[in-house]
Amino acid sequence: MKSWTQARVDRWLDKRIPSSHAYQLDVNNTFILPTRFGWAIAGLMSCLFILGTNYQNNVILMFCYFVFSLLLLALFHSYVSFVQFHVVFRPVADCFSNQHAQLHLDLSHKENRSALHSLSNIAVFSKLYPVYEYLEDGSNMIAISPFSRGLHHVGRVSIESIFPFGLFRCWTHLTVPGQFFVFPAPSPCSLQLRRQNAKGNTGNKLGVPVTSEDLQGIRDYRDSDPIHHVSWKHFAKGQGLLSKDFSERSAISGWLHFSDYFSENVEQALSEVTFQILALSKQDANFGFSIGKQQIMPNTGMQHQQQCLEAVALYRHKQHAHAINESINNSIYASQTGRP
Amino acid sequence: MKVLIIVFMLAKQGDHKMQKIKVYNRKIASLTTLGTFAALILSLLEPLMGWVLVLCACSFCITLYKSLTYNSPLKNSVLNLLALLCISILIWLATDYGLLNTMINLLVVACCLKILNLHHTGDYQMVASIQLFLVACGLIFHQSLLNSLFYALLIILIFCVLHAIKIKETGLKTYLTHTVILLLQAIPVACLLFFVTPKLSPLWKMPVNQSTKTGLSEKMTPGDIAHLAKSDELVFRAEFTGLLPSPQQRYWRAIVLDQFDGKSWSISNINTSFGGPPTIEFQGQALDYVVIAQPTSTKWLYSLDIPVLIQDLSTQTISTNQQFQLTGRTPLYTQGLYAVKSFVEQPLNIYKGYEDLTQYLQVPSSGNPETVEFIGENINTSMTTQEKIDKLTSIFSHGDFRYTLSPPLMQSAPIDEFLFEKKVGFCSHYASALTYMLRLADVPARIVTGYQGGEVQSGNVISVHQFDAHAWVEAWDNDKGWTRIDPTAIVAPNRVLSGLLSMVQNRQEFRQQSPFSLTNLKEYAVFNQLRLLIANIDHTWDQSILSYNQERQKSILKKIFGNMKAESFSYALIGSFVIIGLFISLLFIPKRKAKASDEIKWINKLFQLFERQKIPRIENETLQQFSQRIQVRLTPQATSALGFIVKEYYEWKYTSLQQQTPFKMLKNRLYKHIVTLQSQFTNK
Repeated sequence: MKSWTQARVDRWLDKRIPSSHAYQLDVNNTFILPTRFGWAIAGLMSCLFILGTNYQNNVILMFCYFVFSLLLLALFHSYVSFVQFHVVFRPVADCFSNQHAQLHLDLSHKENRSALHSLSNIAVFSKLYPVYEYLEDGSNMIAISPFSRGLHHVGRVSIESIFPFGLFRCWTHLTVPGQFFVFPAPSPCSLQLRRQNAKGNTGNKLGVPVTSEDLQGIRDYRDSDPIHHVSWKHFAKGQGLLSKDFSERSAISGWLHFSDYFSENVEQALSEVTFQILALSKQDANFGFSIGKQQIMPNTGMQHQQQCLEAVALYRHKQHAHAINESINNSIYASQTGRP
Repeated sequence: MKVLIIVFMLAKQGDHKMQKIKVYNRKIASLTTLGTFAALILSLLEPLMGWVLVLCACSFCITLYKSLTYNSPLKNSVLNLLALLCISILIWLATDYGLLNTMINLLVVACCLKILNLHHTGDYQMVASIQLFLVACGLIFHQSLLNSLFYALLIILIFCVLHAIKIKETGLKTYLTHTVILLLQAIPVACLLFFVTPKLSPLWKMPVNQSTKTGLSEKMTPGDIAHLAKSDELVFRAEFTGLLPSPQQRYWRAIVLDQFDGKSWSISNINTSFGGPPTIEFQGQALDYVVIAQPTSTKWLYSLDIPVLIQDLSTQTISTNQQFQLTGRTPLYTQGLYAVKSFVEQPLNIYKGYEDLTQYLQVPSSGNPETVEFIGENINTSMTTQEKIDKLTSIFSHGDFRYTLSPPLMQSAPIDEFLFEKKVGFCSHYASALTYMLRLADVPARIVTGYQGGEVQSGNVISVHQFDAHAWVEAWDNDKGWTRIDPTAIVAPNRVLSGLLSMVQNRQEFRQQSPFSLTNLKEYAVFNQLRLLIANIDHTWDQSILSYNQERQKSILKKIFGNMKAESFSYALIGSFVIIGLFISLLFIPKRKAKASDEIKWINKLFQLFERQKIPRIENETLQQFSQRIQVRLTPQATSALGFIVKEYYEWKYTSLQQQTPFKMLKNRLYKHIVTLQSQFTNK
């Protein structure tokens, strides 16, 4: 029953406040009701009225009307100070499951807002995450957790203000657009590389570790330098013994197989594989990755790492198929919004 | 319905979170809360029980310590246990203390305990609501202008705390100004509502405070009124529409005492509502006045003789009886206003023949032997009533009697002691002795207590204070009816003519006993003026705010709308709502645009200067772009001047200098260069 009403409310909210990356708070997306304290003060007001009438005490009656008009004005102040704000959600960065995801939002306000409203404080919270943070003008990073491995979207976060005296609560439920991956937390282990993938296909002409060298620059000769690294050209010009400096890229290459790490504890295995992907990527290795039925051809670079990590994150995930679809949508969205 | 469910679900999300969240400006908030707490307790000392005061002091000290240092919250279970204990004590004592006092004590205890744990938003909010309620309780007891202002200040501070805990941290001054502005905006609406909302009569009877025991009592032992004489509390004000009574006429009757037990006088239970003549025709001059009486513990009200009630109190009806008294049904628990017409020249003989006078001859069977003997020797039955009265009052004029505020103790046979030994006393001693002697001499007599005199303010208002309390004698004369005899006037004529404080000796005694009274400043003209001014303002407050009732409301509306119809009343209500709406829209409709600042004006002027030389600015061009574009067309001096202006301006605008130096300073600095520019143009 509860979930049914909740679903209805969610549907209604989706229609009422469509997802967007930037929101100007206004009459269409703002709700306002008295807080608990506001109700208490309204109760106090009625008590004052009874007290004032029964004791025929005009000062108490005056106090009662004062509280009433204060409630009335607080209603307006609360709303007006709230709709001054403009909220922009930045895309949420991917993270590992041992880290907090960072909700990134920019807060700004209208230029001609009254000085009275300049001290108003607004806070972000969500019923999904244990978070309640006051927002500053400008960029805000709000840690939200916990997330398990997979593809997530933040969902709806709420922004509220109880600005003057805490009598009224202005709030809104904003959908944070876009999705982000949560990768397993890396867990150190020893490297196991194969020359071939599961199908016996190397995917790379070089199945063995090779060393390729790139000239990086010229530096003073050291005794340990091999003689063929000496720059004879400079020596001939009388500039002394100089060495050609090569960056040594011990380019490891091969196939990383998830099955090599597979154990009872799938999550642990995924963590280890994650560690290896990061380690290999850091060493600039040219590696392929095979997980489940998915094969990722050997490559290098950040994009390749991202691809491998996403495969790990989505491994045997409940929403696997769904998530991939979402991922496609996501990339379309990313290209529209200029997300890298 | 659907919408309601949705709204409810939405509202449920998150409100609970607010209760346990970070509080801003903790130190300011907790210290201010503590301050308002202390001020409230001090203003409510009277109804509070001793142990509650001790609890208050303890929690004040603990909270003060806690707000200066940071401490972890106290355990709630301990506080709950303490609360339970306190509540059970209060319930146990409730019957003795009365409902109202118990409620106030309960609120104070709740405040004490809650203030110990000021941590979350919810804590501050709860303390604030309790304090606001206590303010209302305080207003039940005290509604004078000064007290109202004091409570208004407390309300401001309470809301200041509520404001401070939820806004960004800035200086104390900013909170205060913001809170005051927000609260001031509420005042016009409140005033309008106050004057327009229909006034209702009491919905039901409220518990009455039992502890305030000031004023005259229904039992008088000589010396009692002397106690009242030490108080300069206001009893009532009477505002006359016509003539003022002469000083000799200012005997404000309150209570008639007719039962004597040898020591003290009290009210007998004889029937005071016997039949009378079918129509009473009053003769002579009548005085019209309105009395604004302060709260008192007795149901007796004040009037000059013979009162005819014109307008009742708004809270209860007043009855008149055949002892010429005005009484309410219950004690006056709040300030009350009633109007009376007094026929001061009418002799008090209108019930002649209907009244049973035997009660007024009652004397105790034993005691005061010397007095009995004295009457036996000096009075014989052949004397007329007037002769008896003259004979007995002459005792006071011939003996060396003295009037004092601090009479000696007279215990065993008080009247004997007073008449023949001490010969020193207060008005109650004189009245008591004379009444007793008159009764022994077979003249029906009774004591009247009330107030005598009063201070005239602004021409038509007489203020009567507790120190004006007085007791006098009424004796029955078959021709004139009840005649007033004031033995005190014989001993100390100034007491009657110009008040208690007219005598130097009394003044000194009064000063010793109430050193902080403003009345002490009477001798200094400036202070006396000031004191009278304050009293006047106070009276205006009483008149306009405290006694604003249904009739006043109707008459004000009548003045505005002409004759009173149901329609015009609804027009008044609708009109006031429209006014409130206009007021709010005035406050909240966004301002078009901030007034062009100094800076923008200055820049526009600069551009105009060039425009006059036929060098117009291209749309949206900045000053820098402009100066670069037009450089070629200027003389070298003008170029350098303009370059300097641009450089200085940009340096000011886009660095932290903007915060440090006001624009005016920059303008002054650049003035020289603008003059150079101008001169270059004119030279050309």
